Amino acid sequence: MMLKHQVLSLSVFIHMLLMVLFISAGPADAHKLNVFAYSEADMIKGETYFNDGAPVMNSPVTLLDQNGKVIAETRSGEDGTFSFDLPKNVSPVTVRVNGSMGHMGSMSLEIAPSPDVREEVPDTESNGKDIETETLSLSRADIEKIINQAVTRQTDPLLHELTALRKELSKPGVTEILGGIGYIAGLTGFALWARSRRNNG
Amino acid sequence: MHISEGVLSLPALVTGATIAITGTAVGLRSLSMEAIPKAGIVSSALFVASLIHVNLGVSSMHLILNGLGGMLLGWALFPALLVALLLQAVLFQFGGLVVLGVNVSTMGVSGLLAGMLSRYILRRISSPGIAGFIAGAGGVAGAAILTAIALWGSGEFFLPTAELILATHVPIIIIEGIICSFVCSFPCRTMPGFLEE
Repeated sequence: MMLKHQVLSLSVFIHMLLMVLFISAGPADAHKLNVFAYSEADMIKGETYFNDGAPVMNSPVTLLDQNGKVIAETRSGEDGTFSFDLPKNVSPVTVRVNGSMGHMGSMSLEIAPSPDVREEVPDTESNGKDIETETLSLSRADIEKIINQAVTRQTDPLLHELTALRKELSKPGVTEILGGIGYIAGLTGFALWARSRRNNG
Repeated sequence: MHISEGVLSLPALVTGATIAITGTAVGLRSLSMEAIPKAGIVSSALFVASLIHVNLGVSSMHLILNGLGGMLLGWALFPALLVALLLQAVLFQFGGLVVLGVNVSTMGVSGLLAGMLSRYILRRISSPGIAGFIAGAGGVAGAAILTAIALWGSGEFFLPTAELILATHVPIIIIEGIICSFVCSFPCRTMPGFLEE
């Protein structure tokens, strides 16, 4: 027969182990600060808010490069929005918001390589006639191709983001793990209760 | 070692379910009042073990701990495994509900046999380290062979499949053997009664 205190000490040991594992898994977010940013045309736009949806107002927002070097600084507005000029040839960048009183949030962002607009579009000012003929000579297929390229450039970072999100979601989360262990503990308790009822008549 | 939904043929699924139901029934009957908390703890361990991944080379494998469960619980491994795998299927989408019976059988039968073997060795040479290693390594190796049999029953060639599964699981067989060896030798010293049913 297995002694009760042995069972107890074994279960206490396992629970302590699990607690250590999960506590060290991620920093505790007492009051979470969310940052959401995206690149649009030649800007990085974004919004920052607390986990209850309230905007983080008038707080310093910094743009960092891969090595943590500050590229640009700004402040969030009354509604929590902010914007930066798009940095050239830097990707990925990190947007960090310091919400004061120990609140800090960040988000890293992939930026599509900036299109060299000047090379593709002929000089408009020097010879206006050329551009007219050039425009007219563009076939439907050409226009379609250009539009497709532009759209791809804009949506590519979003697609990356979506893939990363999907990958993150497919992993089992702490909620599921703890929930499962909870179910097993409950079942064990139920089995004990049922058995003790039978034993006691 | 979880077989996915839609891979197996109907006869394999029915056989697996039959073995799993029989094992669970025998296990529940053998489960004494004192063994229930132990079964619960083993069930939690089995449930969480699949999340501990060992990355080696190209493949990523996870612990199973079925041999350890068989050593600690005997036949009661089946209900513990059923609960753990059911929750894994529902919460993590590991395996699936239709193949649950087969997965319980492949890991349960191998775990039970490896556990019995390791208990026998423990009685003969009384070395919990070696007995634990055999429980851990034997459980995974047995599960690999039984998985190959289940796939064979669904139209795959037995030998190449078994060789492939065994070969890719060699690292996890060794790692699980070492882990179970430690797990067994520690409580055998500190709480000598823990292997009694």
